[in-house]
Amino acid sequence: MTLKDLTKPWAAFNYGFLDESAKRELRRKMLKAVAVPGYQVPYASREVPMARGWGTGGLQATLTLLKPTSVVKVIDQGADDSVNAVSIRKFFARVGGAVETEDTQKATIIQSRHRIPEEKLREDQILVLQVPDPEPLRAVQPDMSIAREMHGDADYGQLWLVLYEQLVKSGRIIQGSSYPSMVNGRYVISPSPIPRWDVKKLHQADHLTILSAGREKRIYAVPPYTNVEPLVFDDVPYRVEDHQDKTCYRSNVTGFFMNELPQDDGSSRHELSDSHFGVKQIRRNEGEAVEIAKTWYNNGRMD
Amino acid sequence: MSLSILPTADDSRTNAIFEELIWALSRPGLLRTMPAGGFTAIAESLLDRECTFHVLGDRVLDGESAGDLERDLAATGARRADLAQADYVFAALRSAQAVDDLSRLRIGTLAYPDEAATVFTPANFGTGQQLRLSGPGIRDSVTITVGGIDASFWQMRAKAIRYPLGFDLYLVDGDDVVGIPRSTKVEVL
Repeated sequence: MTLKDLTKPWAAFNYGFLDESAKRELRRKMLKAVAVPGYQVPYASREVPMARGWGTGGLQATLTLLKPTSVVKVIDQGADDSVNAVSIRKFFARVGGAVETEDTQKATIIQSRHRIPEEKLREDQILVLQVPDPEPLRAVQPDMSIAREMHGDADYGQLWLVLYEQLVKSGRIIQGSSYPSMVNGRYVISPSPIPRWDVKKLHQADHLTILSAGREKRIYAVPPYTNVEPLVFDDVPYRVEDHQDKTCYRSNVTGFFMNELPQDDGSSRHELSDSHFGVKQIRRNEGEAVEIAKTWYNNGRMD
Repeated sequence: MSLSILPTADDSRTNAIFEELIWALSRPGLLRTMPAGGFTAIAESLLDRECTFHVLGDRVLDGESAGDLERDLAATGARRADLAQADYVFAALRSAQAVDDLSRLRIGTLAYPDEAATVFTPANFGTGQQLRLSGPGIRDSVTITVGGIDASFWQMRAKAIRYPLGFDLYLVDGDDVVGIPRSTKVEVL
């Protein structure tokens, strides 16, 4: 065995940007991540033509899964049309020949930052979440080697303390995003900076979720039909954002996660955060036959 | 600038095999069919110079097809290693002796549970032992019938796995594959 035997013929460019050895490493790590739900698997995290912190983790996971028949949707804070989302989506089309979409139902891979779509994902879809800080223990334990031991021992007492202090200081739990959640009764994860509204969508879902942090070089997963339980006290139930009664001023839809738009007169208006979901609602209002899938929340409530 | 955006035949094959493997592992007990079968194709999608492997038994894990699995695995650049150190273990589990040998598998450490072995074993689906699986990736429970694996294996597996420590298993029958990660509870019916 020589290196020459392992070398492939020269090519100007590899399909899907990453070279094959990078993809093999990611495949191995993704499989381990699925096998131990919630455990943060270290991985190499290669250079991609984008600065760390802008979704390089999600990008690498998606590139590994990508094939020419993939249909990719990219979300940035709920929107398909932000610069970050558009340029990532175009990148997949350019280096992977993938089909671009904004429609949640049509996508096979959904890469997202900060939101999970309002429409329920199917079991043949994969959700890739970009994660800036994968370590739920960082606030209580800056030393990552010790944090690793704490995960090994399932030593999560200090996270409860953080929540308790919020409760004492503010009268309620103010953790707005990255809400620490127990996966499969063993590992606490940061579900990435999705709002509390979205954390429940990971619990016993039909789809596979892969969470990848490029800068921090960790990848973890929530398989389908897996318990994801936000950390809560027995006597203080988990509360999602109070958006149940908010109505989108553009689509007239009520009961979904909204963006609040401050107005000059001090009041505020709301619009749907999931932009393409809003587009579909508006088209439907205008009389177009638009197919909208079942949503996780109905009238602002889950179940 | 024009880019070659089409994958080569190798790229497509390894990508498709990985897709089946991750489907199989995220939905334990579900039978998935790979486009190109066999242990060599699996190795080609996962293994390279960064990995170690060990083959237990062989003549392509029971001689049905001619070939040399060891040689094919080594051709990926992966290194042979002792069973207790190997990342990827290809083993036929038809006898109690083979199962006994396998008890030295790497199960990872609490700090790094991912540094555990992955086992690929030949099996026959549809005949033999009934197993009820439950755990992540399974809604309620699922029952599968697996032959070609010694009865002592499931007990050995239950003993070896101290979740999150343990090994991950793929049962391979020709082109078909079933994944059983360490998080799955296996009940022998």
